[in-house]
Amino acid sequence: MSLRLLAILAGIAALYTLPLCGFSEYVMTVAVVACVFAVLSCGLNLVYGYGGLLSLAQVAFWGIGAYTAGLMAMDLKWNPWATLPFAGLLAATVGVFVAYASLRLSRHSFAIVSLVFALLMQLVARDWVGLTRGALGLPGLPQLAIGGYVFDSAARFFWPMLSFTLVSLALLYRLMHSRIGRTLLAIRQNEPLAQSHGVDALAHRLLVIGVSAGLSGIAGGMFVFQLTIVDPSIMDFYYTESMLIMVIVGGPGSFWGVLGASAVFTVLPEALRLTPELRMVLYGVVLVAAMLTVPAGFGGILAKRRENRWRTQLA
Amino acid sequence: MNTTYLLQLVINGLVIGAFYALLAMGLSLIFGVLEIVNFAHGEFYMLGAMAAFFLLSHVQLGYWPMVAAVTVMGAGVGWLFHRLLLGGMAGRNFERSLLLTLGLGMVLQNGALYLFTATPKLARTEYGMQAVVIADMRVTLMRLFALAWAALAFVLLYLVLYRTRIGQAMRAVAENREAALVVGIRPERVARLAVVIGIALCALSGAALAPIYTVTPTMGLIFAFKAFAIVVIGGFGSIGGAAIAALALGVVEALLGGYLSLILADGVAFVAMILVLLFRPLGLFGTGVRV
Amino acid sequence: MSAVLRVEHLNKAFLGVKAVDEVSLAVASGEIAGLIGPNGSGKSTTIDCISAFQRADSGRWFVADRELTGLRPHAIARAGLTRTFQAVRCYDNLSLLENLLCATEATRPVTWRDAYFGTGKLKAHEARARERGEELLSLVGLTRYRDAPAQILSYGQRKLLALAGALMTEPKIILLDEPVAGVNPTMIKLVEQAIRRINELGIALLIVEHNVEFIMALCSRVIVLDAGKLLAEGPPRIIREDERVLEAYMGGAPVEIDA
Repeated sequence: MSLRLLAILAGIAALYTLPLCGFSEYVMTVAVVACVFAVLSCGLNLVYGYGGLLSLAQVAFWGIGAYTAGLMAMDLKWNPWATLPFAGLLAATVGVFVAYASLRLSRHSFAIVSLVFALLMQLVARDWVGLTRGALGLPGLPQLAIGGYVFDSAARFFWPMLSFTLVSLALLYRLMHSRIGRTLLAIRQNEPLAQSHGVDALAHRLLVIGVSAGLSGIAGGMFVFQLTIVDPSIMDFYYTESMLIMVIVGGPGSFWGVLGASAVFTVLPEALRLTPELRMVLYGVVLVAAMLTVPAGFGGILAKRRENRWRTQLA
Repeated sequence: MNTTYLLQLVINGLVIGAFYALLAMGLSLIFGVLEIVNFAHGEFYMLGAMAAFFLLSHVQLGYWPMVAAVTVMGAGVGWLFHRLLLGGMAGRNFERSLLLTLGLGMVLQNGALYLFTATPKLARTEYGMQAVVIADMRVTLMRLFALAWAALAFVLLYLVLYRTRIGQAMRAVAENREAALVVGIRPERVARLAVVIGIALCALSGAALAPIYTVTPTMGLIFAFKAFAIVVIGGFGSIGGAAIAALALGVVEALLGGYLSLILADGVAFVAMILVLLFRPLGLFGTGVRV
Repeated sequence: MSAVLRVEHLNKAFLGVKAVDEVSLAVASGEIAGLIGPNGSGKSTTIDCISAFQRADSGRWFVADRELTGLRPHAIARAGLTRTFQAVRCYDNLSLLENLLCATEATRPVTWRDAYFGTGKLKAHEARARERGEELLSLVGLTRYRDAPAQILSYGQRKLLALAGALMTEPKIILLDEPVAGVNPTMIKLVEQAIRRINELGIALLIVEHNVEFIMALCSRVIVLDAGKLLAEGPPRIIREDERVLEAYMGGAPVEIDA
């Protein structure tokens, strides 16, 4: 067993002991949010860093999953655990459907459509009162439990959330580093070339959008069972902005970079005690600065280094 | 059918539609000339409205000088915007410019939220709520004057685009960038003017609409999304198409809101956009030359 | 002599202007055919339509008697018709070998399951692909750069890499879109050699080019388009002296084309 793998397993074991360390509810909530953003930003990384699609609709799938899970638990009286696969499935289906319709368009249009779709979903959540209970949302959701043990506090909830996060990350990691991942990188770099070599670009893109949306949907479902309420604010633009920062700074296409950035950008604003508005201002400044200086993130810098090494070697 | 009510709605719709048009045309112009989708467009509109509020309440400026001043300031901000941020971005990797303007939008909106709070502000001019009565309809002076400003902006924009050389250059670049460069048009100058005009239009819209609607830091977001929807419906790069789509949208929204529900009114722009994208991806008036 | 590529009544218009007007052509198995014509004659559009990078208005086309009309680009590649691009395309951030490994979807596509889990079947497939990739790199003379990122290649070298990539798909016919445009004379010779070697493997080629000398030297048959229509067709020495061709290119003034 390689040293790297050993280190990762040790780290995971350590994470599982966090709830037992007596941290405050606040700290554990931050830990939960860190898990959530790990899944969301890794999903966006898959879609953007590998699939080459700047999709701003991630938050809509997360929200669709949240509402599906919440409504099924409240209206259909299902066990919360049972609603999660459906939340993911519905989110994935909607994602594939919307993507299929908009992938025929140019990339400009795709980004805009994804953004507008996200806004539209939030409008629907707010205004289709008959279904979603409107702006007040759906309070009193049941919490996740196994037998009699209820995952009510953030500390307790951390366990199922962490487990789901680790499984999702493993799934995404495997996808990115498999041949599918390599094909995606090819599509991202030069789609016509890939097509001329027999690669079904559309199918690959729909796959990543579906997977990413599905995982986000399940995460959304889990999250609202801990909050015990689902309302339109679950699809706030704030989530999109945060995800973007994490992927851009970490470097699109870099698994560890984005994972690291998601941890940093979850913890840092809390540590600095920034108000939500200032946090967003900071994110905006970082985004602008990144675009002016290192648009390819840290991953791009490494690629440039490799290129220069080769040039000198072959000169 | 109460015709007075109908006409009232139509007038209101035209007023807001006119400003949708100015915003959308500015967006379209910037896209056409620089190939950049300006995700901060709505925030410049918001800043215009904020500036209007402050000039009216703290500096006690009159309505007419206020609108003129805000527009000029908008032009200046546009100049800075291009000079400092958009310099080398034209025509390049579009995601970069998208994220840059998105980030800028975040900074402006949240900065405004932090500094001015989310409390809606009422911009009051010396005309207050005075109105004229035309055939049983009550049209506030603010709406009337706003329409006048919009009409002036349309005329000036038309003159610049169709009667000046640099305007011609802008249209040329929007239609066929490579050819325009070959012919010797200096892209940076043209780009700068396009941005200046676009942002000035945003500022003007903000200033003219501030006394009519409330002013909040988040007002830019929804307005901008409507503008995006309009540009898509009208067709990317088609400035005239954007204008027509905008006026139509303004009226349709007003009618839906007045007769059915506000919810439908808000959603119609997006639904229309999605329909256009599905069935006529180039937009209703798009020429298919550039997307 | 069977036709590996058959195009029937191809039509494509842009905004009312006909770029391709009732073009029918055929390329025999193992043949090197050239497609020439003055600017705007519809050569590239024809290629784009056959390979489905543009949607043809009407017409049918077949590779080895299998109809490809209406198929999406990747399906056409899998059916044995591969094309290269005028503005040469490579995966800049991948190594040369990786560039070629990405082209194997066309030959033996693996199932999603195999691709995701990296099964033994995939590994065997990859090993074979690696061998083939290295063979092809040596065929075009780029073995030295096998693990270097494609970004460092010169323009002409990229064209050679593109040829190798096309070969990875094991095509029956390759459509070359201006293979020597903007390439220096030394490199032109290398490209010509590479094309001949490819043809020796039994692969047919349809070459679109502006460099008429290049076409005349290489091709056994030349097809001429003018303003979207088929103008003339035949062996190089006949085409060279065809008055209609001269007129289309030169506006009628008799000029000697260097032999």
